[in-house]
Amino acid sequence: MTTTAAQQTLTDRLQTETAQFDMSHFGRLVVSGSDAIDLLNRLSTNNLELLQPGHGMSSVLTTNKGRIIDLLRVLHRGEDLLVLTSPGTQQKVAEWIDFYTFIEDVSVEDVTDGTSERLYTGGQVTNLLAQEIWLDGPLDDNLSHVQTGDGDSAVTVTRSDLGELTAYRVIAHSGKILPDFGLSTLDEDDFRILRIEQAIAAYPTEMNEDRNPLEANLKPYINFNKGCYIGQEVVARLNTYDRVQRFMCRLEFDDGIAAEPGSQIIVDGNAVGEVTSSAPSMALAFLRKRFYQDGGTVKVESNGATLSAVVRDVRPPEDND
Amino acid sequence: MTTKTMPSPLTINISEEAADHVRVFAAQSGKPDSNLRVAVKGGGCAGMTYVLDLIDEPLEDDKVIEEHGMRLYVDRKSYIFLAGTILEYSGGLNGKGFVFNNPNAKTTCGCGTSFSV
Repeated sequence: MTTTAAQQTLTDRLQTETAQFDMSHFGRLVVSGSDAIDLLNRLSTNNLELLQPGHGMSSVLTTNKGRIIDLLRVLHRGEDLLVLTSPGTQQKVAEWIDFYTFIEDVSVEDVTDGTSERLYTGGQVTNLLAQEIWLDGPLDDNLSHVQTGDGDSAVTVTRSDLGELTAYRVIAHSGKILPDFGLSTLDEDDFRILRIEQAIAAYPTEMNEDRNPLEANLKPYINFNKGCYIGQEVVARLNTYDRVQRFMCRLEFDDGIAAEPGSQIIVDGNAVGEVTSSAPSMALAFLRKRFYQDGGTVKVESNGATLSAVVRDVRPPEDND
Repeated sequence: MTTKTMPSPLTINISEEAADHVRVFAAQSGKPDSNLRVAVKGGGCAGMTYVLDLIDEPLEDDKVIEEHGMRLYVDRKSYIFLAGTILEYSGGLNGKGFVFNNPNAKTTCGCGTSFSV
């Protein structure tokens, strides 16, 4: 499934179509023990103490310098936590949690290889999952979830919207391959295009240990009143004193033109930003705050060519001033 | 008279003043025969925070250190981050209470309650 911005975006098509994407290569950890929530709360940015069974919360695991290790989706399943990580980060996340487990009753199991996962998204996704008896009705909140089925059929279904698109992630605990229901298949390129259209940061292109959560537009996943967590002092200072120097933006190019990741954004001969993820006609980039203006024009140097791009402000609403 | 405890890289020391204050707190808590358990836990701005607890008996695998008539129980996994630490007590108007002088701490957060190694 491919498209271009000039014709119709993938987001546009998925307003009516329904599609699926195999997410089995994303990381999945089961974190259990009576101190599991308390420990994760002390290691990440959101207030996980508020989490109730059946619900979930996104929270950023940060270093003591306030840099991003990964964005975790934490599902409270009652008896344990199912933690969804970015592709390939599950071992690093598990080791980080284990390193900081001293006197706590916490254990971490990497279940990535023994489970499978598929994302279903698009206009008819809720009806589709209801027909397959995975859902009685829509799940209202992002990362709220239900567990259904027994044995090989046991699955966790969680709402996991892609920006404005309704989406559900289904995790099969047996590792059994989940059905595609004959839907259009999104491949890695499609998923990247969707991510860019919806301005969703990913590891390691936008989220890594060179970035803080505020510049990667992860502020909605930071609770500034929860108290200490690793990196809290740095993140709070950046926010309070307005010290964030750059933010993630979306760049829009003329029809079909793409800038390579790593391309520099140039204003008045100076590099003021960098492209991190790219697709035909658009890209995600980090741009210095001084030049961050919705509708503004910048130049991008890519493969020896100078491209013109329009800046789109994709920051969370409260930063969107 | 207060004696100054000299640091040892392979153990954890408690100053006489800190030991006296532990006994006072233990008595006030209704547990006069308890001893002090020391550990670290993940969290705090810098990465790790100190944990102090009054308990009667050491937990399994705790390291036991005796000084100034007091037993310190040290969580085994925490020990590598605490070795060489002197636990002191800072009183007075600007006092902070119990203070960990930890040679393993490379950085501390602004309020001094957490550290990184």
